[in-house]
Amino acid sequence: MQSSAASVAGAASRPVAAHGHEVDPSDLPWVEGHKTLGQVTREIADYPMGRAGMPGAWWWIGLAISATALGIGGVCILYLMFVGIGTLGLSKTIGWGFCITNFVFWVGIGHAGTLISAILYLLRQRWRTSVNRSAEAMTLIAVMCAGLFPLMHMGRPWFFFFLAPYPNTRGSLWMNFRSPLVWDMLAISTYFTVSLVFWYLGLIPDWATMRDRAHGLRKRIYGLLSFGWTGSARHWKHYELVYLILAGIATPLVLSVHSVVSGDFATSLVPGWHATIFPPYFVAGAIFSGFAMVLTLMLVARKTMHFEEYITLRHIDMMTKVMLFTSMAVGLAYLSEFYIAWYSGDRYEQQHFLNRFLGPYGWWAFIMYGCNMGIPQVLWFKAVRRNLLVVFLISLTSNLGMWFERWVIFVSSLQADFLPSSWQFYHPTLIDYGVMLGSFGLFFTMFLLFARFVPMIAIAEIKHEVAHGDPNAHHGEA
Amino acid sequence: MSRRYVVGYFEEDGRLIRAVKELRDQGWAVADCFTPYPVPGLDEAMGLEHSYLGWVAFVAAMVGAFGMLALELFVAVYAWPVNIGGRPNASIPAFIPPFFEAGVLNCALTTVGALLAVCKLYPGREVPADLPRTTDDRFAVVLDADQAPGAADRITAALKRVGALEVTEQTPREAL
Repeated sequence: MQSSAASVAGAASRPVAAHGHEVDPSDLPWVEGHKTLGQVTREIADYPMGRAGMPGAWWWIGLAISATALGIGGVCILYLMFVGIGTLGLSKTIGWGFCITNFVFWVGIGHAGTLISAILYLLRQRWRTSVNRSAEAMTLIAVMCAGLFPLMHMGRPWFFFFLAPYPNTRGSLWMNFRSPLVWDMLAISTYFTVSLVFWYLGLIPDWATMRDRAHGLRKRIYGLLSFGWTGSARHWKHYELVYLILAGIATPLVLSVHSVVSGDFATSLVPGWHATIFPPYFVAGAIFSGFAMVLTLMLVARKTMHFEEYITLRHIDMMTKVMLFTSMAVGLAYLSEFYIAWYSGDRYEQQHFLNRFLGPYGWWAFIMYGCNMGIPQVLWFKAVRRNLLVVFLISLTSNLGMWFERWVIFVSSLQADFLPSSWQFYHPTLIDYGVMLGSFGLFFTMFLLFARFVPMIAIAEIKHEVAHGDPNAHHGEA
Repeated sequence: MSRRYVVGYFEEDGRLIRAVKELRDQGWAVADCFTPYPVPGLDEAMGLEHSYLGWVAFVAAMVGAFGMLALELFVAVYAWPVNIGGRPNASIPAFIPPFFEAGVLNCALTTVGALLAVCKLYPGREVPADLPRTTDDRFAVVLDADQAPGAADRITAALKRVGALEVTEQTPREAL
């Protein structure tokens, strides 16, 4: 075993494989610090188990701010429900305003989680293992935030069950399965449920790990949450297959969700909405904004929770590359829209796209195109991708840009319709802003609670990565 | 009567796999292994059959999808037909998104439900045996101590020979 001994000696100084050549960087272990399995357990599980000390002041400050935002949002939602949707800035011309913009924004944010946990799993991108748990949690929370808005927008949210197909005393009045709004309801609820199941399935072995380290009440709680998982090889056999199947079905699902959401717009005849490019355009934008949000959260979490050896600069590098790619996919869709508007010869389309830039809401379009197409181009440079402050700022501008993208598409399309006498502005009310603030409050409150009580990194999965991720390590020899 | 088991502990999955292979070569029946993460190659070493849950997933997806299609046709053709510009009531292309979503939903829920049922996992389930650190950083192989006369001692000796760090005898709450 001379060669393996040489490789072990070489691995300590610089990455050299057993046969003496430089190692392809993509073969390097994704978790740094040559960790032992027990170390992985301690470093990740100690936070949720309360053994890493009390959460720092920043956690409490963050929770106070986001819980306040959530509280304000809650009051606004109550007011909205008691008084009605007349309290929003909606008009006959602009029937879909802030609420639907926020809805699509949050659904888009939700896309990164399942992309990371399912699609990158199928593509055997090993770096996903460090971020899949928290990205998937972010997905679940974002979809919850998204779900609030159509519910509020119904005006009478307590009748939401009218959407369900069941024999009823209203006739039976059945839903129209040809409507994208019905598809939307089915797609989002399926997406939420499948993501939740997928996420929880990954958590079961980690709850068991925590159960076996805890005492007293904590042990009982983790025992309940872990479903009595033992790590039996007979169970792992089924577990692994089910995990693969869920990844397999979640992959088309995540692509279908934003395609269906885009159908809410694309099937209408409104200039600016009526475009067949919408499904891939929306999916690319969703992944772009989702990765931006993952980066926003992860850059803070890795610093405050000392996960630098799990979420390394290389992980961030990969995520920024995904952002760069999706930014260009979205940019291509933007340019295609303009081209098709010109090429169609349809004067309503042309008028709309001129109005985007030259109309009263032109500056929105500049934010949208600048933040989504322009600024991410600096990610071509490695020095930028390695500068965490710049990456953090880009993740923020990207989220801003993606919010404005939806705002531009929805509101500036409706604002100037076919009949000039009905053109109107959208004036957001305090309730509009309050409900939006509340959704951000909900998002960050839930995420902070998640970071406090749930293992942020998939312990069992990362252990496999630690044990097998290093091609220079020798397994079971000696 | 509860059964006695011999448990051998390892600190590396490679050693566990070699121990399992060797013990089986010597003719001992391996009851189970307990590991902190799914060890690649362990099911072949233990001679486990492939999981059949893939079939459950396939059937569940088909039932969900075609069940939804049946509901859509029932609603759109029979229960609440709506004439929109003379288009056919059974407008199949428009029924594809719910067809797909229902297939995925039923597949996910049924397959995970089947996993929990097959492994008998549920909230409040008692862990059958205390195998310290097997959800943390150790790998355990478990063998029936009474599979042959005098088996316990011979298995213990064999486990020590293949490099087990620790060998214990256990009488768990229920059969493993």
